[in-house]
Amino acid sequence: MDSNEQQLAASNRRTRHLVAASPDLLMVIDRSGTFLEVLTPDHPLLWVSAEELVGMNASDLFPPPMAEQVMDFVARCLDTGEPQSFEYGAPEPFLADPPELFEARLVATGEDEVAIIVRDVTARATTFEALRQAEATARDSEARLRAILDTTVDGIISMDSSGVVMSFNRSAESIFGYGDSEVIGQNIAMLMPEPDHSQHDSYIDNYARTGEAKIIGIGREVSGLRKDGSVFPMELEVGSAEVGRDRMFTGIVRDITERVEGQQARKVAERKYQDVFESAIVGIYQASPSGRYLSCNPMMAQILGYDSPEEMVESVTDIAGQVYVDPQVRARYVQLMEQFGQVEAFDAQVRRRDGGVVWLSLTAHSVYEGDGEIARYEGVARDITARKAMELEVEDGRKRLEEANLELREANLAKDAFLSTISHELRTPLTSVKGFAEILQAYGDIEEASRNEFIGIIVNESNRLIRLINDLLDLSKIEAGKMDWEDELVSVRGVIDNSVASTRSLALEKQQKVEITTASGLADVMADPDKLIQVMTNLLSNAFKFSPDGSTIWIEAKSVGSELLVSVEDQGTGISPGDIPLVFERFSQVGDTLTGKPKGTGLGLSICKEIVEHYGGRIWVESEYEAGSRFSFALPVLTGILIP
Amino acid sequence: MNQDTILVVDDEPNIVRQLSFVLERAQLRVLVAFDGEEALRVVREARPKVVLLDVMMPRMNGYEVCEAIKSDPDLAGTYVALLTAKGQDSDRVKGLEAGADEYIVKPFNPVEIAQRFKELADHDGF
Repeated sequence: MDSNEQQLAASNRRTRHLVAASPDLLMVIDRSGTFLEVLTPDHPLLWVSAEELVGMNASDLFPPPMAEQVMDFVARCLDTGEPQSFEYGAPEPFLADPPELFEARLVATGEDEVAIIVRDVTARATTFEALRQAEATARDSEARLRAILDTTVDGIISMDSSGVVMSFNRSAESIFGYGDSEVIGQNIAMLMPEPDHSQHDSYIDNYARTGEAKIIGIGREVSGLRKDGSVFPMELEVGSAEVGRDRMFTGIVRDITERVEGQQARKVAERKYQDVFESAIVGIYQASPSGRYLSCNPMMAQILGYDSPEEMVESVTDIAGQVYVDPQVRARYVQLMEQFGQVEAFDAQVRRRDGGVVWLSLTAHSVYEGDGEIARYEGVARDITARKAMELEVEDGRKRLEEANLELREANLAKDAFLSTISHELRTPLTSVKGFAEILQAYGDIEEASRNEFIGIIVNESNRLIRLINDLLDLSKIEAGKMDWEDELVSVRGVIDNSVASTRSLALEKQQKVEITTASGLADVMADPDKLIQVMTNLLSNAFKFSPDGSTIWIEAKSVGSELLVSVEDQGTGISPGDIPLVFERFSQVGDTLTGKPKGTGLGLSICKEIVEHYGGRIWVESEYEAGSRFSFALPVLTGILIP
Repeated sequence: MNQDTILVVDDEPNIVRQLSFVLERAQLRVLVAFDGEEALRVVREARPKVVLLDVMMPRMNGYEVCEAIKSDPDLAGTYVALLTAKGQDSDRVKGLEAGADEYIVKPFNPVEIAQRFKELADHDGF
């Protein structure tokens, strides 16, 4: 081998090694499509071995359309002598994880041989796809942004630093009544009524220069000017952004006509409530559970005697102690508010600032905080002092009526008992009189002694009846105020003598003595002498009746202080201590149970009492049972009166 | 029980006297008492067939005596006529509640009473 051949051989060897290390798959193919050589036998894109591939035809390797395409490019390359290139997707069946895209370059290397250089260009394809998608996304987001801008209810207007409108969204169109083309390029001031109109530019200038916002950056309520010239309230918020070297302003505009109208309506309503609150004829208050007024209306202040609600809220620091007459009542109110959250017609006595007491009827409820604690009480207070007074009066009247009723019932019972007793007292002697008369009439053969006895009884019992009737008449006259009192100056001694004389027959009957002691210089009394004689006679006949035969009765008259005192003392049966209080009661006839003796009427001492008391005097008895009694009466003596 | 015996009770001696007089004339055996306690004692001792009993008396009144008689099995069959000067209906009701057999209001005619109780005794009508 010559050196040239050796050099060539060496060069060929170097080339072959370099080619074999190429990152591309290098093969040689002829016009018929037969693979002649594989220059990179270890290339990963080979899916058959290099030995197998050599001699195979492209039509054996690829599906027909692709095989044809390969053959076409091979032919074009050989015919034109120009390198060809094409891209193709991975054919089937291929590598387990085949690249998605190949680039094949064809270069004619002889008359009937073409080198094919195959490269995996998947990564390039992916980059393209990413670019394409990014582009689409950008288009979408712009559309989306536009959609958002167009459908948002807020008007969005952008402008440059000189106030020239750059964009005007659909809502802005409907808010202002302009089409975007009418506004874009114009100054923003056209959308503003005076005085903002003239000042607007300077606001923006000022902000741009100093960063001090007049309208920028803070939402505020301003007026907008519609195309039709109408002015409406709007909320405006302005932001600014650097765009390149320029500054852009974006205004977000909201038509708040409805809100403002709503606010005005609410203000009107509030004013109405305020009026009600202020001019209510009931007191309205808010109070804290701890005992302060938080607020109240003028009426409430007036009820409690304060000049104004403010004064009341300030002055009252302890409702229970300062306002409630009984702090316990406020404690009960608080308890009810805690337990039930409300009170209805809670009546309480409260003290006005001037100390006067009034009755309030409270209807209130608890207002709770978020945590369920009671924040305050809200309530209405009515002054029910007049009603309460009336209720008390009615209640008082009812009580009086009840008492009167009870008295009446008792009086009725007493009257029944009295009538029953009178009936008994009248019928008993009448029974004797009528019975004995009927016996005398029926039997003609009654012996003389019995006849006389019966006639005697008839006479006695008739007299008893007469006395009883007289006593009853006297009593009813005194009670009815119809008794004739023929008052004159009466000598007590005269009264005593007269009485002793008229009861002489009784004294003689039992051989009883009377001893009279009268102090000297006794004053006369002003009275009806017959009435005093009646009293004295009654006491004397009782003494005779209840004293034993031959006993002595003492009569004494004296002055004690400004009174004239007369007493009648006997040595008779006396009265048991238990019976003493009954002595002057009607029909009581204490101890008068002796048989065979003329009975009293049971009214004598009652009448004595009525007479003595008529003259402002007193009558009483002292007695020792079975030893004697002393009945006394005292009459006031007239002094300092000159009797002609 | 003594069929022909009658007890007259009244705290008013004149009334006891007149009833005793007419009943004795009618050949009845007459016993007398002047208050409730005495009356009850006599009833238990002498077992009269009839008791003419005044209502308003000291110590035991007529109603109480009547109730005592009527609630005592030993005295069963005793005829009690209340004598009263209280003419009101309520008093009559009280008497009947006490178990009285008859209620005689004062003033009465003693002659008629004697005739009636004589006839009742004769016909065993007690």
